[in-house]
Amino acid sequence: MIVTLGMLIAFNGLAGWIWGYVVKSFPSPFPSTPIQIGGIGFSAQDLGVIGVSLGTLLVVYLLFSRTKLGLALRASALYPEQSRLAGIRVSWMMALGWGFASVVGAVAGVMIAPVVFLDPNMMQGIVVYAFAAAVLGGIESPVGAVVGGLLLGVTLALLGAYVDFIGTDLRLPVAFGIIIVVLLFRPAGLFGHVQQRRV
Amino acid sequence: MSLRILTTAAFAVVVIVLPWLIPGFFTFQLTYVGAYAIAILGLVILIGNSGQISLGHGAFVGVGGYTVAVLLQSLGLSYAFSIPIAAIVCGVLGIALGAVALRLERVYLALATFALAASVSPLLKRFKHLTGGVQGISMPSPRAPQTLQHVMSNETWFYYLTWGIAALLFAIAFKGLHGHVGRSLRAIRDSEIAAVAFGVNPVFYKTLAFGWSAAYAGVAGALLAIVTAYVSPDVYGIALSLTLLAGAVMGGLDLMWGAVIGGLVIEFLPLWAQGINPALSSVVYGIAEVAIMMFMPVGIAGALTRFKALRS
Amino acid sequence: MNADGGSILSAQNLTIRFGGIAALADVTFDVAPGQITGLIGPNGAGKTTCFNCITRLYQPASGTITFNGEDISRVPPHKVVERGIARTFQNLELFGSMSVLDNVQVGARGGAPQAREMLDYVGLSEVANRPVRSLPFGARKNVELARALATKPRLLLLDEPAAGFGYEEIEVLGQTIKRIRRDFSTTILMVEHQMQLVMGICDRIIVLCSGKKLADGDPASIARNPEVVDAYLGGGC
Repeated sequence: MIVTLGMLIAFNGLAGWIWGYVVKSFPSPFPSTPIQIGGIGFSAQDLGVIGVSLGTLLVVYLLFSRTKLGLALRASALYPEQSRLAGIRVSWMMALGWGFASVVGAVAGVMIAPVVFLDPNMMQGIVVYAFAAAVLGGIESPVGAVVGGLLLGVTLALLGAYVDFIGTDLRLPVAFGIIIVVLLFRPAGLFGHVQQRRV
Repeated sequence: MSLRILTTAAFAVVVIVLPWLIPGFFTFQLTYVGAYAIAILGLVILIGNSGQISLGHGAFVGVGGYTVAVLLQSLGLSYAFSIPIAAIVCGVLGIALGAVALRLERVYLALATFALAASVSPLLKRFKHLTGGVQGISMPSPRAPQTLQHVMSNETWFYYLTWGIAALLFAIAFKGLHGHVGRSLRAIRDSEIAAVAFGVNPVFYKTLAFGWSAAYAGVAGALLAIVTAYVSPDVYGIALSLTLLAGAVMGGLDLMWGAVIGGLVIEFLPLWAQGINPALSSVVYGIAEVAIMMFMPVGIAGALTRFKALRS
Repeated sequence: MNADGGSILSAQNLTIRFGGIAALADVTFDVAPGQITGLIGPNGAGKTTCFNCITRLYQPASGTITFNGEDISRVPPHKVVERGIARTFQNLELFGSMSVLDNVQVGARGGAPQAREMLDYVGLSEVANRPVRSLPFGARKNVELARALATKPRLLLLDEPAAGFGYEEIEVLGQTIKRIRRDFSTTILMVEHQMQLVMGICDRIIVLCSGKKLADGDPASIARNPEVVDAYLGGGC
């Protein structure tokens, strides 16, 4: 894990080195015309992000549950020794896993860059929200991830708009607070389950 | 065993004599090294001994710094009161975090503490009336007491205060980590199941480790705040937390005196790197961290110890 | 020894499930003080699960565990050893970064002197200051043994002590276990697959199969029991 943290620091610095720390704007891949659905105006950007996110989720889900490669990836993660015996190249699976995760991360980055603007530290907040959503929905539950994400986003938006005390400044601390509260009172989240340890 | 006493004594002599031999600015920097070493020692206790990770120790440094700033400026308390109070506040918060950390596996604990580090800056900015908001709080620079004014410079006095506190905290950590407490912590780290089977209460020791390391980070924050004479919200966040972790890894997570090496690295590496490129220090930190974990996982201090053992 | 001469450990109706499977289903047995009792059964029978319930690592869905007259069903796991129950582990659970002496010292109330005494007893005093990682397999098993003995247990749980041992080593182990029973006045409950050891030293044997108790008696009657033989030959139970 510490190696990944080292990589975080290094890549962060590298991005800063190559492109500088000045915040830049990022053009949206979607057209800027608003779209009307049922009398409510949405921006193409927002709908596009939701669409791409759901599409990505679908692709990842299908990959892991319906393909042989996905099965091999899952097996390598859970039972590396047995997988090797079954003929799976575990180290290659691990590398692929990292690759896929990076691709998904890159997609997420491109999607959100028009909104949060481009700078080496742009994803820090996102990571916090993502984790809060995962905890809320239940770690290791894919349904929980989606529900948690939606619930968190809506909650933060509503709290920000209607509770003056919080406004838009305290969203990160609220996310952290949600993490703490869920872990203290319902560690499994909404859809997860508590792990039993086996000796 | 006596080699340890010898090297410690030699080190103490160097620390005591150094300010008289070097320019004042250097003394100033070495004060920072001492404070960082204390914070990193906290990480050695938490990560190296109890096996729990924290990417949020920058938050405790911040709480320590702001506590001292508020106490010194608004309440006019002296260092003798404010620094211990900062330690206690952070210790309590650390225990609270530790209680939550019990429920989290390693990766998730890392993420939760990451979230903590990210939350500090917004919280500090929001409560403007207490924390001075974005502008932070300014304090007078440390000044030596009247009786010592003509004997030593202000920098030297605070240097001694910092390293004196460091010596005390290192001594406490030494006693703890080499005795029953340290053994219990490392037992939990190596095999929690066996540790529990042999009477070690994991809840107690794991939260103790968090509280203890947070208190140390708080003291470090207090000292850093005083010597900088300024606290501001953006300093205490993810960047600081990751930097402290990098320093701990490079010094060596298992060994106490690795914390001193870590402190030296954290203080002087960016200064050297910034001359070349402002972003370079991050890149160097990151690469060094990866390289050390892969090739020299015991850190610089650990490698030196192994080297010495091989030669004897 | 118990004042009333009854059992030192009594498990009543122990039931625990993992996922949909009952690892233990209504298991009841007694362990008599001062005896060496074997706990045997085919793989997956629930033997180690039993140990984990006794040492409170697992919380059974129902049933009680009584030790020395006290109901320990709700005792926190780290308080089990102070009541006098110590164990060894099937896959060695030593404290890898620590020295041999430190490993043994963890549970020892008498501190370092008592730990040294135990290392002496198992013949490892020479290596007390070596990192436990550097020891060969057999020595590491002895470190686990010393660690358990250092807690002065009334009940010693041995989880497959003969695993990985050859014929000669099993003979020696059998003698060692009997010696421990005598020198420490302790009761021994042993999970084991090696029938040579089980038949050799056990006073009583409990047989589990698929989470249920199949049989309970002295070695001779267990060896003759057709259901037990069937279970081991793959006939299920």
